[in-house]
Amino acid sequence: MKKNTNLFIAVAGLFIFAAIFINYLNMSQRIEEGRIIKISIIINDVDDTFWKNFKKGAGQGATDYNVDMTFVTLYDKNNFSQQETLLLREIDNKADAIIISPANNTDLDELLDSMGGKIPIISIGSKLESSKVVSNIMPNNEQMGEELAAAVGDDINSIDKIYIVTGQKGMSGKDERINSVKASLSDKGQRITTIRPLDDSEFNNWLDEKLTDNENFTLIALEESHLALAAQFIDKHQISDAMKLYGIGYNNRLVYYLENEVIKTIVAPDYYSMGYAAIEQAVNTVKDDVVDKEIMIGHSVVYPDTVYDKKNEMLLFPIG
Amino acid sequence: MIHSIFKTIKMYYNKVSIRSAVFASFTLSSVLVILFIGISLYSSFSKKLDANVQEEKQILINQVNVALNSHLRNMMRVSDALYYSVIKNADIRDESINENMRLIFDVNMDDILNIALFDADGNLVKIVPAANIKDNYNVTNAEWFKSAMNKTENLHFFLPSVQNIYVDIEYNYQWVVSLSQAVEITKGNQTEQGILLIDMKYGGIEQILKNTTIGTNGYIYLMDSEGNIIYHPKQQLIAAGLCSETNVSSAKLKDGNYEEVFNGEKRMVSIKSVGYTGWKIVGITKEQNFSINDIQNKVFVATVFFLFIMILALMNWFISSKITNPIKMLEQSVEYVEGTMNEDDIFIGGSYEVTGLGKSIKKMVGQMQKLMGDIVTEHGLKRKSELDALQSQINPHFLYNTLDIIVWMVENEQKVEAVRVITALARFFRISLSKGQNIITVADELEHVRNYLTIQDKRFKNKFVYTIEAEPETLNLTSIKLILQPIVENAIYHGMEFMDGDGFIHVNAYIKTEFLYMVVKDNGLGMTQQTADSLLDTTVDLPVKPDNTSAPHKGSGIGLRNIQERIQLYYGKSYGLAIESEPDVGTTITMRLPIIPIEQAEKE
Repeated sequence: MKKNTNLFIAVAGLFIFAAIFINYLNMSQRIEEGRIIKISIIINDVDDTFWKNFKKGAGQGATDYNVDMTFVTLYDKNNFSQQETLLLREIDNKADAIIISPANNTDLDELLDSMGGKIPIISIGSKLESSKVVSNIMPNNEQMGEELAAAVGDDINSIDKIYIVTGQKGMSGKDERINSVKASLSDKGQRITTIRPLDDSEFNNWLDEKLTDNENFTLIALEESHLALAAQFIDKHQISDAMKLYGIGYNNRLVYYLENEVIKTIVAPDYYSMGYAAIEQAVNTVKDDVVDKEIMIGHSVVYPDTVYDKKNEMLLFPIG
Repeated sequence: MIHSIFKTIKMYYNKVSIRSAVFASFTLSSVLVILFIGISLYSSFSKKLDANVQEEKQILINQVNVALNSHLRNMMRVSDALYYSVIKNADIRDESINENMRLIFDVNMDDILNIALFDADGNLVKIVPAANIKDNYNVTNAEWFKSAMNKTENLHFFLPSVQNIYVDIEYNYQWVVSLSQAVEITKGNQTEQGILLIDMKYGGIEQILKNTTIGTNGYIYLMDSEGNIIYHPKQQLIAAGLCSETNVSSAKLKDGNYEEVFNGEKRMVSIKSVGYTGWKIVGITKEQNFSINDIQNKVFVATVFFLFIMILALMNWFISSKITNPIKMLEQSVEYVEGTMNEDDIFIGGSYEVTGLGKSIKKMVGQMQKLMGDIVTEHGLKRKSELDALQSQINPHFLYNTLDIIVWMVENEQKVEAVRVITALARFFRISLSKGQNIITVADELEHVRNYLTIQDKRFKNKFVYTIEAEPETLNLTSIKLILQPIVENAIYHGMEFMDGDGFIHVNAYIKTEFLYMVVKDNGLGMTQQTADSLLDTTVDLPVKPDNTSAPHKGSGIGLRNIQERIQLYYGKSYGLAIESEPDVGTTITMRLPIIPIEQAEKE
């Protein structure tokens, strides 16, 4: 009799425990769904002029996924040391995940591999190889380069000189751009020169030299900052016919220049989608959901007369 | 079918223990009640919640509709005010038009980006705030211009767009919703067609809709009559192809509530048209927000039910154990007592009724013990009495005396008499022994007495005469062995021995008033009635002989008490001896026995 009682108590206790445990898991899931996730975003720039659309997309993602988002900029662009400091600081601040736009891919990969801890890293703009990086989100740099080269190719003749201005080596995304532009233009027979100014003043000096030389050429800027400086220079000196400018990247001012044909063509990555996807992947990582290792965001080739096409309008000027 | 179910249940209850029956009954009835109440409440609550959510959603959508309507009507009033109060009937060259337009703009500048007036050729006539048209902008080709020129009586609202008409030196690209209206412009004496364009800030509409949510995951969006999205919380994602919506299919629906399945998810769609524009407000509620019937809630409710049922089962188990354990222990103790017959082994405990039952059983066992003891004692007494009786029958004195008589008779060649005495003696002992039986017939008992008297008659040589009578119907009745002869012996030794002849002993057996009576009457010395009564009184010592001994008599030596005892042991207290005696008159001893035919006694 006592044996039966003990057996019954044991079985009933087991069922009760199972019921409580299932409920606990159920409640935990609800709590987990309502949990606020902390995500830090470290961009490789001194301000967020070119990041407005990215921020809008990230903001939408933060709203949808209940994220507390922190946006951090560098003091000097492409300064890896500063970025390292900021990265370590955000890790110390117990961020659930970090989204980072690499200042230097190689150095950042080494740093991440040497680090302990389990904070997931999402790279935006260019690809990182470190095992700590759970997702790389970037535009299709190769295709952007090809399409930009195609737009350039439509406008030039065989005697024109082409200058490609880009950042320092080691930025994988930018290297892909330049390689694909060069490859696409190589059969046109132009002289293509690549310039990699160390900073903005060096580039400005180079522009001044070209102005002085009174040279006609095509300038392809593969980074937003160079595109902005060049556009400003051309607009200031009213030399848009002599110095034909093409580039990747945009902000409102660059669109203005495009409308006024200071810039001939812009390839505009969908930064809004990049921001949203970055937050989405970060949240998926934190919640142990499926994460895409690599996401290619879309882009659009925008001409002066297609700025206000519906697709371009939404991409260049995200609503809301 | 119902009958067989009942039968099965009945069989179950007949087979299982009390505890299992109690436990099963309690638990099953509790579970059924909980399930019934739970399901009823859940169903009722679920429906009520659904209804409440729908009602609240409808209220919300109506509120948004009112707000949006109000905003749009306000813009329409601004447009009408501009036309009827400022432009119409006023010369366009008049500066007051600028001032009035500016006035109206200033009042509405939170909602309006630009107000512009164009002539029929698309030339800018007036604008507030001041701005230049972009060089590459073709006014007459713009949708807002063409629509207004085509339908002059209407106000025309357009889908949101980035304002691209005017030069903005601060590089602002703002989303606007354009409102255009055909107007009449007066220039001097001439009136001509013109177009009034008001660019409403998109933020005004966005503000009304943006902060409106339905539940945790519900939302509202705005579209035109053809399904083109005007506002959607995920508008940008839809444009980028990262998200989708059922706006196109919803545009075909009339105002009302509809259920749909979208991306595998059930949701409720509520549609409400916005007045003049034909736009539609669409409210989306996901099932988890308008119903509690999602998996998580179902799991929660199911596990809570299950938890309650298990706790209930445990409680029922304990309660049924508490009630039935004492019964079980009582049962086990009764089984045990069957072997030990010790009342102290009976379990006393449990509820009031079980304790009472235990005490009753204990008392019963005690009484059984006592009765068994009495039976054992009775049997012992019987056996002792029988042994006494038997022992006395082989009293050596009687045997010696009888053998002496026989020897004397043989020596005196009284062979016939000797044979008679020997025969009587043999028969006497045969009946005495009776193969160990205690119950013999009345006929045998009388035969026994006859043999005894035959022998004693020779010994006491004509000291007495005797008669033995018996009704024929008594002969086959039962009697206890050796109860008459001792009385006759007493009559001889206490009555006849000292008489000088004329003694008689009469033995009679008859039936009267449903009893068997056997009487031994003598005319011997007799005794006082008091003495006679004391003979049977076990509390009184036997009368002492003159020589102060109470040695057993010569002959058989069995006392009347032994006979009384044996009769009452066998037949009960209502049977036995009655002695009537009177000194010098005689003594009559009457024996009352039950009427039991020998056949009946042999069967038993």
